[in-house]
Amino acid sequence: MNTVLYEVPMPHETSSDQALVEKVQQGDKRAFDLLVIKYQYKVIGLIGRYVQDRSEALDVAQESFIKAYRAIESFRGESAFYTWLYRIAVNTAKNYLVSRSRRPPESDVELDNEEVFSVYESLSDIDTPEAKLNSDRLEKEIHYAIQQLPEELRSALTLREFDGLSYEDISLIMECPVGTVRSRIFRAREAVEKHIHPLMDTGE
Amino acid sequence: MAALNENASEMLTSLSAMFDGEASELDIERLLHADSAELSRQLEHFHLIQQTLHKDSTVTLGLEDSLLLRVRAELDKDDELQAEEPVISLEKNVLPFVSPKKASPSRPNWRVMLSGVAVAASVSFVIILGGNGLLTSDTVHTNAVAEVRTPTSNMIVTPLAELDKEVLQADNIRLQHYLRQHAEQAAMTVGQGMIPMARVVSYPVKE
Repeated sequence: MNTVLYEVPMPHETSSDQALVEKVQQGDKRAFDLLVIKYQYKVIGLIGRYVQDRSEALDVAQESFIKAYRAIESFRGESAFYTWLYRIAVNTAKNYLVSRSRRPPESDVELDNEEVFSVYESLSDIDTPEAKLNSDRLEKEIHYAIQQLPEELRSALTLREFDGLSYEDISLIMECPVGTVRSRIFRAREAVEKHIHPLMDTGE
Repeated sequence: MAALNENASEMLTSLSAMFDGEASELDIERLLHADSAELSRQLEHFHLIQQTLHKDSTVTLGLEDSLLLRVRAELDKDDELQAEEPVISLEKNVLPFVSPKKASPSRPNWRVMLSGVAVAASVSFVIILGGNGLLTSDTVHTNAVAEVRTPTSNMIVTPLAELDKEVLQADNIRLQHYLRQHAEQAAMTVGQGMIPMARVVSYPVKE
């Protein structure tokens, strides 16, 4: 019996980013907006490990994106866009700390492990017992919502979120077209979002 | 109304694909025309779900497009500053200064390229002008020589065989003496003899 080995891709490191970057290089500012929208949380989370204050972290994130925009002409796609952006953000955060005479962390946050850490745990305004309670509740509700999903939606979402598989690999496993995978993953997210929406509205 | 919902659903499917890094060209085109605030809000929820699933604490909600608006405002300010830069006429051979920091992708390379062409054109112009100046004196000189030489076509050239041998020999001896004196003088003053460099030419004399 043949064993099929699936290579687990790194999430978000993709050619669609490259397509967006090329559009920015051609002068499409709107494409850069999409990159900001896509990566703002990751960047703020990353900077939050260096700069504790949320408002300051936002300033540094803003500066990082502006630096990235100004330097995007030099981006040749030799590395993933986020890797490049990550380096800019870390350097900007370190420079910020130096300029404020604060000592930057001795070692960088590892890119692969960066998301393992709590991206916002160091930001003071959410590190409260109440926030922790809400977080636990939210997690519980999300897991509950996923369990309530139809089988094909749940499988598609978990293969993506937990196993980090590409749409193509998921389509091979689920024996369905890639378009169906896209649709299933979105519908799963939409259903989970609808379930947790009341929690978010109450000022989570 | 149904079409509107369908469009919104398509847009969100594209957003979900972009979130996963699986957006196609069509997805990107669709998202480029969507409302930023709405996209940002939706992505915030996707992030929230993902990070909660990864036990990654929670995303602070309410960020939406505030960071995007700040970034955009700053970049627009850059563009305005660039637009306010004085436009200098290239016809006067003055190069426009383009700050590398402010060279934004929204203003593609045409300025830089144009200034590059202007530099090349200016250098070429200077070289041609300078070259012409240098060449002119040579040319005038050449013409002068040519003018001097022109009458030679009317000169009567006496064949060597018809010259008086004694006169010719005397001239030759005088020339050899003169050249020797000159070489000795040069060797004394410069310290480098002229002889090795000199080619003494003498008319062949038939015995």
